[in-house]
Amino acid sequence: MKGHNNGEFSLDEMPPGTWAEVVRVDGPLYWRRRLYALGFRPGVSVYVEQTAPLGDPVQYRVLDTWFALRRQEARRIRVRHVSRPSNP
Amino acid sequence: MNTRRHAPSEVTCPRCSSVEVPWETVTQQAAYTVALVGPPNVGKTSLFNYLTGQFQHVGNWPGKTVTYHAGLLPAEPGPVLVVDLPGLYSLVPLSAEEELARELLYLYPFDALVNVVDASHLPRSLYLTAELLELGRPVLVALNMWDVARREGIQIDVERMAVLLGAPVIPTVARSEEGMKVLQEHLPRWLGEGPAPGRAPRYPERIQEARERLQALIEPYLPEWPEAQVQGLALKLLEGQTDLLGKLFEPETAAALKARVEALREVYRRTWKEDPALAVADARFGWVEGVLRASVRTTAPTRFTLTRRLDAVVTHRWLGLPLFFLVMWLVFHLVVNVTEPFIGWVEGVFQGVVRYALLEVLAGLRAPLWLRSLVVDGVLAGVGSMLSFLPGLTLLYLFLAWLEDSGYMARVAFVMDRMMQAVGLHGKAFLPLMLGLGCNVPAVYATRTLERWQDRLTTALVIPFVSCSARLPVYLVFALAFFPKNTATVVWGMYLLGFVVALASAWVLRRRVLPQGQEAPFLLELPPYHWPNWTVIGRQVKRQVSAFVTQAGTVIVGVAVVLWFLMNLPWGVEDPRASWFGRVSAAVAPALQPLGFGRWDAAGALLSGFIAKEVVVSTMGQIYLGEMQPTAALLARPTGEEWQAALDHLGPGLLRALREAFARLMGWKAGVFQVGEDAVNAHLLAALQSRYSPAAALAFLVFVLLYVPCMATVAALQQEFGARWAAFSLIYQITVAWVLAWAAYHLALALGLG
Repeated sequence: MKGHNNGEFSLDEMPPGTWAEVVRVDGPLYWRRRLYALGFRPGVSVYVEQTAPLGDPVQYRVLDTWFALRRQEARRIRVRHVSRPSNP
Repeated sequence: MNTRRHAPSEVTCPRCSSVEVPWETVTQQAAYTVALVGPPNVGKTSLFNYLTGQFQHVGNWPGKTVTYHAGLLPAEPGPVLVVDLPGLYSLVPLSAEEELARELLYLYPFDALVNVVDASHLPRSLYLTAELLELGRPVLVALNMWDVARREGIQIDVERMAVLLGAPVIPTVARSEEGMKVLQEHLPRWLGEGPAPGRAPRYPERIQEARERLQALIEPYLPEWPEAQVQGLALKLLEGQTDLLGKLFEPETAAALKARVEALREVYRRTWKEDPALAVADARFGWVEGVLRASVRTTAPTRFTLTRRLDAVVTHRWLGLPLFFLVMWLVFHLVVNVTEPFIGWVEGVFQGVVRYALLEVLAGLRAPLWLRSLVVDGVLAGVGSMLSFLPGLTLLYLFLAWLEDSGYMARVAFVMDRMMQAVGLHGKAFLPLMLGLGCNVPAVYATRTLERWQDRLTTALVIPFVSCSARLPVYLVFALAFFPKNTATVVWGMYLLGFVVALASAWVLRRRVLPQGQEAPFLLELPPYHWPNWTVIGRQVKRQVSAFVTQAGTVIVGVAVVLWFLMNLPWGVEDPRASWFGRVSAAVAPALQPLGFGRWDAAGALLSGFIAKEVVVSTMGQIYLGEMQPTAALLARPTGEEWQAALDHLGPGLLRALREAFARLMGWKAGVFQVGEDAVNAHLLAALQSRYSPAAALAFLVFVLLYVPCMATVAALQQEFGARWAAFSLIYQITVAWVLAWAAYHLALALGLG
């Protein structure tokens, strides 16, 4: 994890086993809306579970559901590192 | 898999695409119509099956809730028509199925919506609930997976939640049918009471104001709509789903309204400094959090430990792929190897006891020779060939259902996605490709699980290159005749070539041929593992097998009979070549000359293979062996010795097959494709050897692998993508087959296989 401006990372930079809180979602509106509905939205904590055997996609846990996102998509989700989840 | 015939009737919304059964005929029988709505993987389909007594798949992989179904629940005060909508995460559609579901929810006057919710994943499930409550219709919430939630330490105050949602909330467990009876009894009674609409969530002031402005805009155009429903539509317009206008109004009105809606949205985007759609989504989540805070308590700190432990192994960096290949190998070992002795046994029974019994009856009735031949060589040959598929197919369906239902299939997509990505496909495309190994037809239907049309089309166009089980007999016969020492290598080579051509094709089609669409996000849910329910799987397999018998079986038997006629017309023809069939084939043969097998009989076998690949071998048998053996002798009453042998095959033969299968299962006999010599007719092998060179045989195999699998596959492509793409696939496959068979022929010649 390399440092960025004010501690922001893209989700694909977060190593497995870490918690990240979503700061912002970039990309086309239909894509952002879809991600929002699944729980990838500002203020929600995401746990990075693990990487697929070939390095891509990556398995995330959000609101107690597992989703796999490709790295190019996870790159559009800006997060900050948190030590523990903030949402219920 | 085409699931249409399993539903009592398919219903389509009056304004939407194709109409199968007129909606009116279905609704006439019902006093109330409700929609069953919920996210994928919440057991919605099991619930539907329980309510309507119809059995279907559980979940949303191939042939599952991709088309919605309707079923009748007979009850007092009146029968309830339950429409099962495709799984939805939200009312923001990404796939064709989701779009259809959203359209229906807005446009069809359902009496109520039954929202199936995953009680163990409430934070996510309730988002859709919020959207449904906005629709302004009565809502009933089924808290499914109640047992899982309890086990995971989630305590839900059902009564409190019901008050907050303004909707009845009923805990259910679809798998064990706990609470289902309550739901089944409560639903009709509740409908009879004339329930009020669910309580639409109250959103922050600025959103309410914006919604009211849009509402004022559209209200005059929808005089008959209740206010709650207009409010819901206004909110969706605020979110930018203006395409709904096109479904409601004449084009001019829709365009005018759309322009005004967009202008308003732009104003809000500027003042709020974010898209109104995201602001609305945020507000919904705020509401969801409020409901959760008020009605749910979670006691257990860590959840789904089993799934996490399993995933740590199944999708592990180093173990994931080997484990996947091990599973695949196991499935194939069982499906192909272990069932083979039974296939031989089934064929033996048909060639022996059944055939002889029929001949005895026909001889007893003094039936003319032609009728005996029609029954025995036409009808019976077709039925026997179809039934010989059953042992393997049953096992294959069983494994796929088990893997799907347990949650492993989603992991397959996860593990394989990187590889599929390399050729421009989605990880989910791996499952249809794999299904193609069994039969291309269900594989084509299985592409519906892909969200994007381009992904679906690409996958469906390359599926025919994946070697289906019907092609195996052709490889086996040719490999045994020409490469007896390398049978397994040749057969595996064909499977490998099929996959390589499929993947290469996907890459080419994706980049060069197919229209480029908007980029689609890859999004794959990995549902928690659970132990599959054997009853559900058993019924599912039974249905798929009977579907194969009725659908594919009809085609196969039909083809066998048609072929019999073609080969026996004009009446009394002795030489197959002089028959109608021979004349057509001879006309096609010159086109195959450059491939080394420009013979009328090769062309004939390939032509019959258009209708179904497994027919290729039987056609060759009919052509070659028909030449060799006097017909009358074959159709005479069987001798005592023949009867003896046939009866011996029945009981002791089954025992032998069982022993053989067991030996193969335990790996004592590494019998990968090593068919006993008796399984393949030695006369046929000799006939082939005298007519083809090894190089031509190889080219023939490549051609069989790659040209159109069967009419049923073309029909499936036509149904899914239209006649133009079906025609494209037809021409594309024949071209690829011709070119690669030509290459194989010349390569083999250069290697000295002439």
